[in-house]
Amino acid sequence: MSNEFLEIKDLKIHFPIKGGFFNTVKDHVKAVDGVNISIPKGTTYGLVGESGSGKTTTGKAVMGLNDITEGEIFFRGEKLSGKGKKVGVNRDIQMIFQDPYSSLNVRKRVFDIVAEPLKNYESHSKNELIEEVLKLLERVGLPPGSLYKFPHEFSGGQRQRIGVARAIALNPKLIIADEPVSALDVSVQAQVLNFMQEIQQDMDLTMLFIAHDLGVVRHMCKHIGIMYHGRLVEEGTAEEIFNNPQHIYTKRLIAAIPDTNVEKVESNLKLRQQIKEEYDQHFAEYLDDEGRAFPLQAISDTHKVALPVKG
Amino acid sequence: MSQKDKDINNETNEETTDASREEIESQNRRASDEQSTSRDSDGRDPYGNRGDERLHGSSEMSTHMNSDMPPGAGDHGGLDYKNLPKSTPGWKVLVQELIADKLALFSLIIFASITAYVFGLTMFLDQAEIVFVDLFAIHEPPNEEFRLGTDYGGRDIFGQLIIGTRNSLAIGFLVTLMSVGFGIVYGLISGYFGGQIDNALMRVVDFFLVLPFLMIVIVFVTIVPSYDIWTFSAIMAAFLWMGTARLIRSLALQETELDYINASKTLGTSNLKVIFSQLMPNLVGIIIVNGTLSLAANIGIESGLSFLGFGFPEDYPSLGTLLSYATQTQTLQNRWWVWLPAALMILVLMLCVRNIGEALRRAGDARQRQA
Amino acid sequence: MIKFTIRRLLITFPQLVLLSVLVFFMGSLMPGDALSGLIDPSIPAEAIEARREALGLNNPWYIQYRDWVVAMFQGDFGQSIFHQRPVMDVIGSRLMNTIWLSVFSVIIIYVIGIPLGLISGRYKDSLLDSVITGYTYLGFATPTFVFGLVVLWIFGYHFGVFPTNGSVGAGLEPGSVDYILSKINHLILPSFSIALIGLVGTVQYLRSGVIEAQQKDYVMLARAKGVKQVSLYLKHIFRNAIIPIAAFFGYELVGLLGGSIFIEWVYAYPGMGALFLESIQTRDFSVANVLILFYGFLTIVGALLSDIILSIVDPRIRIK
Repeated sequence: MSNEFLEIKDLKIHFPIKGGFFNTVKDHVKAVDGVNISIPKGTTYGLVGESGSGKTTTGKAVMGLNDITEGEIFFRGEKLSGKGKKVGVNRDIQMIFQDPYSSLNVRKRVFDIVAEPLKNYESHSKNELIEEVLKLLERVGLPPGSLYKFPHEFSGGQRQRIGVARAIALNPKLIIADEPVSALDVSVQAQVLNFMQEIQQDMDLTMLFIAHDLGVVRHMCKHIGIMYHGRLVEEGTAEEIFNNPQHIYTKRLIAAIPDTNVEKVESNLKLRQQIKEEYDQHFAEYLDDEGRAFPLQAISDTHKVALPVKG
Repeated sequence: MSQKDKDINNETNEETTDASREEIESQNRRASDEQSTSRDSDGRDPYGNRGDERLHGSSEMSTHMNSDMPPGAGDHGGLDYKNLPKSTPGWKVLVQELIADKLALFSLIIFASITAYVFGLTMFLDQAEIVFVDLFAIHEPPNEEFRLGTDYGGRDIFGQLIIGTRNSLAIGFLVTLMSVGFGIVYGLISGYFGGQIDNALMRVVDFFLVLPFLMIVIVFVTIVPSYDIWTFSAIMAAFLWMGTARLIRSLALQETELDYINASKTLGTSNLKVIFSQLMPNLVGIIIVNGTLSLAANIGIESGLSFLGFGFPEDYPSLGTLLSYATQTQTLQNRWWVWLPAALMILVLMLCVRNIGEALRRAGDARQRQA
Repeated sequence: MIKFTIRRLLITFPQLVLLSVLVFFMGSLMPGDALSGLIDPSIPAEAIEARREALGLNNPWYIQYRDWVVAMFQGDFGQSIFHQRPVMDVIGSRLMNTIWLSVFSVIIIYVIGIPLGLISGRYKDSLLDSVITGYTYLGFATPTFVFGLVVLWIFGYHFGVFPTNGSVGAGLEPGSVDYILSKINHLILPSFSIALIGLVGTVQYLRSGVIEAQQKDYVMLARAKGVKQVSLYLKHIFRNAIIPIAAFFGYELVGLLGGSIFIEWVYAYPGMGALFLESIQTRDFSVANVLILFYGFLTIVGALLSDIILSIVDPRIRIK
């Protein structure tokens, strides 16, 4: 048992593919295939990967939204899950969802949405509930006039604020943020990110921050893990990942981050092309026969890479 | 009846087999994905300008708020939260759309008037007197005493028409309430839980769909020991819930994929609460439309059964009972006043209710596009 | 394709079993059994009990069910108490009439319905379209039996141009030209009553199919390529709109078989639907039961047929 706040050990989530004559299980989609993540208390861990890499599935497994095929999840040293089951609902773990449109019930007023977790776990009078919700709205920067409005009356960024208000209503200890800004306009993204960071520091939250965009997590996260096809290919502190990427996949992701510095356009382009060539030629070497990444090898205390097994 | 069959058939066509269902399901899911994304972008576009305004404003928002609100944060004691602005809920929009549709509004007025008239008038009419057999006044054409003449037992047709309309409406409502109610719960459970539960529940629906509805109902009506309005409605409803169940289930399946359901689950809301207080409100529009169209069909089915002689007993006349007199050649040929008014009444009722239902459906679609 | 068909058949089998179990239990719930018709006060109760035992009526239900199913496979569907004849004989004499009625109705539905639907979709929002749409509105709201009564009243009695009951004139030699003409003459009113109401679904389906197809990308492309208006509609739009209608043929036919009960009753047309109602009224439940089984069987087979046709027409269904 470690003293890590959240620890995911050898997590595997396989979805059956049914087919054939009697609709029997033919094969499995290995959405998550042996992932280890540990997050120290009060820090943010960035989980990055392309769509379909299994990062959201990992997050949803911690929330109890997916069956776990194998592996264990520990929260504050306490085991959350057993094999083949869902994690039970835990009031100390909450989630911020990717799509601010579908994650808010369009038939509910802001009050009902934000008050839902409070009603489930705490007993308040109606007036107390309103007080609580107003406090939360203020905290996420929404005017009190929002209380009785419907979600469609808000912009995407504001909707995501409602989602955050709902997630922090129970004073959770751990937040799973599933691409919380990817559905927002770029101009709003920074706003929402800054404000999430503020809240994280204020409430001493531990956060698993899922993103497909390395640029977004750079300033948010202390540790970063890169996922590819259900496995981690590289893991380390933010500096290690950005300054000393080892895996070709990581390099490519970093090269893809847009840069606003106009003078560097030329050199960036060259770097990108160079990495693309390397990627095209050598990427296959980084995968085993089944097209999966190799096991992680530590190259420093914090930095681990899935380098090809030599020999 | 054949029309009801057709409705059922059309649904059967869409997804009958296991394989085709799964395929169509995934199509639906894809479609719903597309829909939801397109809805999102659509949704954002109309608000795009507004969103931008807010964007520009939102950098000022915090300062604005700080100046506006007492800096002591949590203390809202002075705020009059009961007077905070409220928005129009969805069902009101539906009603507004209905009123905007002239044909539907006209239908609604006629239907409401008929309903109010027959239910109001029957409170003053003596049913025993109307069904009283008066052998001195049989087969009278319309005259001053009997506005629509009399039947073979000298019973007043007009009175029977009023009572029959009331009974047909009442049973139509009752059957619709039972069948749609059960279908909603069944479909919601099937669609929400999905997987094996859904599979098993849908096999049951498939089986009910291949039963020859009319014949089975007739047999049950014949063999049921205590036969009254409740058992009659229950028998009808027992074989009419599948359409609603399938419709609600396919929509619930799409809706359950959305994150607000996941959010509710992770917030510790119980499954029962998620189904009925989160999921169901999002299907209210469809439920209302489905219920309205079912009502129209059920009025037709009930009068059909009564027409064949397997509906209400004769001292409890329905519109179908009056029509069943027309199976006698003499009545059909020479005494139109016995059956034609009832035929027209059925037509008017079903037409009105269907118009309302179709208008609601259109309103629902338009709303989807707007929201 | 073959895989799909076999899997579809596998689903059909339990449905048939369940249907037969249901019908069996409904049969045992109905008053009377195979001996009720033979009851004769002069036969002592012990003798009847002995007969019951001999016929297996005292066996547990699953044995009785098994015997019942086995008998059916051997062609023994029981005795009609009312007609004092084997049930199959009674039904057989009515079967062809119902089949003729259904076939006639389907033909009329397609002959009238398809052009109406295509025209309505092609000339959307024209006066003609409004008239056709109005007709479908009315048709959806009119129960078949109400329409049948009105048609019978107007054309059968008021104008007296068509026969008002039966399936054939009296005293005609079966097989003669007059006989066939009389049969057709008797079919006209009932089948038109069914078809004119029954076709509204087809019309509406086709109309929306045509309107939808007009907006499809491949139609846009064809139009951009300069395909002539006429061949655009004939080759690209109508064809795609009609295919599903053709595939639903099985359902249509089965639906009509079931829906013809009302019309047979209104026109006193001696088909299976009318036979069902008569047998319920005369408490001849053995006939009624076999009819339910028969209709249920037809529905299952019709659905099977349509699904198979559909899987040929629409490959998306058979991918899995």
